[in-house]
Order: sequence, then structure tokens, then C-alpha cells
Amino acid sequence: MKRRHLIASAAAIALTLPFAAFAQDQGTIGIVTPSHDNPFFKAEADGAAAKAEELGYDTVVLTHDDDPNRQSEIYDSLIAQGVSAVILDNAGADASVEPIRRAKEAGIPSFLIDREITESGVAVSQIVSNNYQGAQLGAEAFVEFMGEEGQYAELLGKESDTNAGIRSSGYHDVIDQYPDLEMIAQQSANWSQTEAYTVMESMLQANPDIKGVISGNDTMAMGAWAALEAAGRTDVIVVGFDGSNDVRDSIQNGGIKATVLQPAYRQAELAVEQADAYLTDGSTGLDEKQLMDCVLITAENADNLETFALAD
Amino acid sequence: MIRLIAIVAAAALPLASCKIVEKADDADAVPQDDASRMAAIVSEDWTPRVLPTLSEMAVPATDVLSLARSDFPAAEDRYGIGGSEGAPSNFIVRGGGTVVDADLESRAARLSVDLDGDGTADADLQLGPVIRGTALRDSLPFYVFTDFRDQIEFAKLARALNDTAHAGMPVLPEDAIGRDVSFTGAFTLTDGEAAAEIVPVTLDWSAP
Repeated sequence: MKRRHLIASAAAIALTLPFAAFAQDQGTIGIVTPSHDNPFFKAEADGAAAKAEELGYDTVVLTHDDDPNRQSEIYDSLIAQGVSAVILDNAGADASVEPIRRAKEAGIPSFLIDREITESGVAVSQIVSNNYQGAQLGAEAFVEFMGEEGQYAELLGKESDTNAGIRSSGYHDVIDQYPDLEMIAQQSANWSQTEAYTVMESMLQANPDIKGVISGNDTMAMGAWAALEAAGRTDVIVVGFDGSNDVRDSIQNGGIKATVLQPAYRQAELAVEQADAYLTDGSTGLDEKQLMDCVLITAENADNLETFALAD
Repeated sequence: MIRLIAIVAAAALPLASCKIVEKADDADAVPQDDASRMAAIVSEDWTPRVLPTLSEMAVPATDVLSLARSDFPAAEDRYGIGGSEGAPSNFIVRGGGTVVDADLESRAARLSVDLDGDGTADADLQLGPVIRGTALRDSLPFYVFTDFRDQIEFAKLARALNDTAHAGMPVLPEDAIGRDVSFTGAFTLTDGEAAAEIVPVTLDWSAP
């Protein structure tokens, strides 16, 4: 099973790379993210590819599906291919350090978006959303929608992902200041919509008085909302995180109350701009690790949200 | 010969690993989570580094605010710290004025201060214990995100700075409104219209 998977991904790489061989003068930028099944990662890949092409680069777009082994193979292929730079949303804070270092030693710089790795000095840039600031925005809105009181549940993201912990920490730094808000359940649904549906169903059964749900991302918020709708509990307040079009639509239809936009599209563009500056001038002129602020999305500004970007 | 070395190495391994584990245990005799480690850094830095740096870098609050209200980009260029496309600018200021409003009951206690003498509030001083934002961390030049393990550590650093600022606040008079106060502190401003919510690190009441 494992072996088949390896072969399949190697074949996918072999298929993709020849197209990149017709590089223009600028060279090729590898764009590697988790699966595009989550529109957040597709927006990243699209933003990076569009900016790279605008700046005259060819692109190779690949997904590691959160599998560190697959990410490692992809890196080896990109190194063999001799790409100019890699834009990466990585498959694990620890596991990603080695492949990024291998590329660096081969003269290929990496520019990270969305997720951090545990070492600095290996990638050239790490541009990440200010998840803590964003979580506090989401929590402040949640507290307000809850009227500062009542029972609530929290859906946590994947434990291996730093962002799951930081969002939860940001939520609680705000919510825990309100003694009348009582957390009656806290469980991971691993960023997954289907898992969140199941988790929400059992939470509802165990806690029929639940008044609100704060979720570590939008796909889990969508799963929770579907379960609440199925149970006729559309009175429950749900707040998500990411700023997806799905949650935007739900907000506009009076479903989910709020989400927090991570500027994923722009973040990916910015990583390509920094890669271009580095390849051209030998430096980005910026700190390696950079935080980008998030924006609260409610019914008031949901109309301006499209594909992880907010129009003015 | 090779086999002999292998046997010796194999025999030596368990012993060696034993030692390492013991050392690690010793080193971790006082286990510290992120929050405690960041609090320890702030505790060590506060008096020798944080307060002198803020005192040295502070500019008059009225200069910053009047320029920010009329020409925000100019205020960022002239006084701003750390602003970028994805992150707002921070400002380190000192000033004084009359308290025109106060909320001392809330967990997020604040004083609203008239700095220019027109009778209306120009800025809020966040007294805590709940202090919003990361202005102290993001305005201090020696705290750089790249030097920290991840966002969690960096967030706990900000929290420790805010907590320490709160702990240093003097006892507040019951009749705060109408009293004169002077301060040094930092705040974040996203645009020219946003409220200035200053996190003070020093606060002095003039005699009533």
C-alpha cells in the first residue's frame, strides 16, 4: 500500500516536471502545498502561480497531501530538476526541516507560507498569518455573539500543526476572561469537515444546551454547521477561521456567524515577490519570519470576500 | 576485529544512552512551559533593557497623534516601528494630560486622556489586567520573531510583556477623572482613524 503510494506520487512528479522543462529565462518556481481539496491551499497555489508567471517564471505545482515522505520525494525531484526556488506550505514543522535544508545545500532557496518550521536559517522566508491575533479577533466576536454567557464547545485542528495550538491559545486568552462562558467540550476534528460533522453530532447528544461552537478552521465549522442544521439547531452560534468562500456564503445566508480571514492569496504572492527579490538581488531585505495580520469577517464585510482576499 | 569493535560499541551503547537520559532529567528538573519561559525572559529584560529602550525611543504622543490623524503614512514613516504590508505600525510615546473618562471596574481597565487640552479624549491607557494587542513586543527592536521557536512562544512573550506592564501600574486613585497623569508606553495603529490604545509601562499621577 505504502509502496503503491510512493510509485503513484513519483509518477505524478515525473509527469509534471517535463512540462516545466521549457523554462523561460527566469527559471522555474516549484509551488508545493497540501491537497487542493481544501480551497485555502488551492488559493495559495493559484496566488503563487499567477504571481510567478507574471514575473516571468515557469511553475511546477505539486501537493504533498500532508505526508512528510511525499514532501521529501517532491523536494528531491525539484532539486534534481534544478528549480530556481520553492514556495512551500509544509507538511510538518519538524519533518520539513531536512528537505528544505537539502534544497538549500543544492542552492535552491525555499520561501514558506502559512505554516512555520521549527528551525530558522534554513528557509529564506517564513511568511505566516498572525494566527494568535486572528484567533483573538474571532474570540472577541464569538464572545459578543454569545452575549458573554452560555455553554460552548471548541473544535481543535490537527495536533501536529502549530496553527491548531496557537489558535486555541488565542481563543482562550480572550474567552477565559468571561466567567459565564463555560466550555463543555473540546475535541480535535483534525481540520476535517466530515470528522467535524461526527464530532458535532456526539457533542450535541451529550450537551443539548450547547449555545456556541468555536472552530479552529472553516472546514470544521462547515462540518459542525451541517450537523447542527441536520439536528434543527440553527440557533447555535458558530465561528470559524480561514475566510473561505463556503463560510462566506453561510454567513450571507444567516448560518455561521463569523470567520477570520487569512490573506492566503496575497501571502502566496508575497512569497513569490520575495523569491524574485532574492534571486535577483541575493536578499529579500526582510526578516526571515514575518507575520501577516488577519481580518474578522462578519455579515458586515462578507460581501467583499472572494477566494481568501478582501476587496476594499 | 570489526566484529570486536561492534560488540564493544553495542555494549557501550546502553551505558552511554543511560547517561544522556540522566543528564536530560537533571536539566529538566524544573520543567517550564512556553509561558513560564517567556515570563522568565521578560522578567530578566524588563528593568535593564525594556524600560530604558522605551524611555530612549519615546517621542511626544501629541506629535505622533496629530500627524497620524492628518497624514497617517507620514506618521508611519517618521515615527512608526515595524509596519509592513501585513502588519500595522507601532509607536513608542510619552505624554501627559487630564483623565476625562475612566473604566476601572472592567478586567480591561482604561483611562481616557485628553492630551491636547481640548477637553476630549485623545488616547486610552490600557491598565489591564486584560491588555489587548502586542504593541510592547512589536515595538521593542530586540524581540525578533525569527529568534523564537514559533508563534506560540512569540505570543506568550507578548502576553508576558503585557502582564509585566500591568503589574507595574501604581494604585489608582478613586477620583481618577479630572486628575493629571503622565506616562510612557507603546501602541499599535492600523490607520489614521483607529483609536490609540496605549499600553503604559510607566504611569505617574500628579498631586491632586
